[in-house]
Amino acid sequence: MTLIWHFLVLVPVSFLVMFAFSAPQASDAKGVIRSAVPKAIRLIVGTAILVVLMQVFPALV
Amino acid sequence: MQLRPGQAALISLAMPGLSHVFLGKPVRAAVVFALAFGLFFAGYGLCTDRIWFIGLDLGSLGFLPGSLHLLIPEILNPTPYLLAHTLQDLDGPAALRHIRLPRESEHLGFWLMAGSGFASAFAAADACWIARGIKSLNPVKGIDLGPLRAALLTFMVPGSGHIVLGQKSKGLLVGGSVIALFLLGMLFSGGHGIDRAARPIWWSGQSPFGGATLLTALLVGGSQMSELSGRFFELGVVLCTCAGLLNVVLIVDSFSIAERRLLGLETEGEGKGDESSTASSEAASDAVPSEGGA
Repeated sequence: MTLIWHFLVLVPVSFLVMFAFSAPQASDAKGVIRSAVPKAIRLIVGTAILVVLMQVFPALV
Repeated sequence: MQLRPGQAALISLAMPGLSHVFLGKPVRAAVVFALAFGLFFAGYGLCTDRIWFIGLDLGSLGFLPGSLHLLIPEILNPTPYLLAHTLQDLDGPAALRHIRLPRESEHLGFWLMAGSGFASAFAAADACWIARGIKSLNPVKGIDLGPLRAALLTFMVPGSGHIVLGQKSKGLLVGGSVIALFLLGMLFSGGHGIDRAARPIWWSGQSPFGGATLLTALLVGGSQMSELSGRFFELGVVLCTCAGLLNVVLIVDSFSIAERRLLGLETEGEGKGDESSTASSEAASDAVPSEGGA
């Protein structure tokens, strides 16, 4: 249950704030979201790939 | 006197206000000194030597009082911290008493002491900014605080610095998110997620959200824990801490946005998102380097 709240609240807010910070050219909410969404998707996909590799690689070795 | 920005920041951290004196800002120097020392000793007067023992158990007594987790955020204001630490009188059984007995209004005292650290940090950033020799020719109401104003506002209310700088919707979005995160944390923790005496390390992360930690110190600081805050209590503490840490990002962001405005480093798309940003851009165009730097 705690983990669900982390993913529902903490992760989106952290992404939003960090990506707003990393995109100073975005001066309004729309710009921030437009800049944050692709970065967030890339981060999530990258993390998922890393997790899968961490599971698969030791099994192969 | 000429100071490089780094020198100005370091001198200000070592002795709040000294850099401003060297940079020819005596009034601001007096305000900075009064804030850094006044807040610290006002807080110290409320919580007394108990500050050195918060979060320590009896087994830690042999170790140096004032361990690392107590240095945050007061370490940003080291001079009064070291002065008070040197003058403490903790011989004998008094030390045990300080651990066991909470003081009345100690939560406010803790906040004031931490606030002195943040005041010192903001003053150092301000001294650094002044030493760069950039100032606005169009100060607001006769007081030109520059990027410091945005940072201070964000420290108290996340997003307010962005709103003042003309980025209204961005400020509402990111500031509102951080405030919502904090409120959710308070809800999960039954209103007791912020307690420096009980959880000083977590409090260090929560403290950058100055307005919220001050409010909770005043409103729920002295109240007793209830059974309601059982199951998700730790989740609440984590959310409050994350809100505080994310506010550090917003403080730096609002400071740097104000800096870019005054330095004329805005990109083309910036400042066009909101109606009010036009006025800010006009003010930015008035910013010029002062003669001879500092």
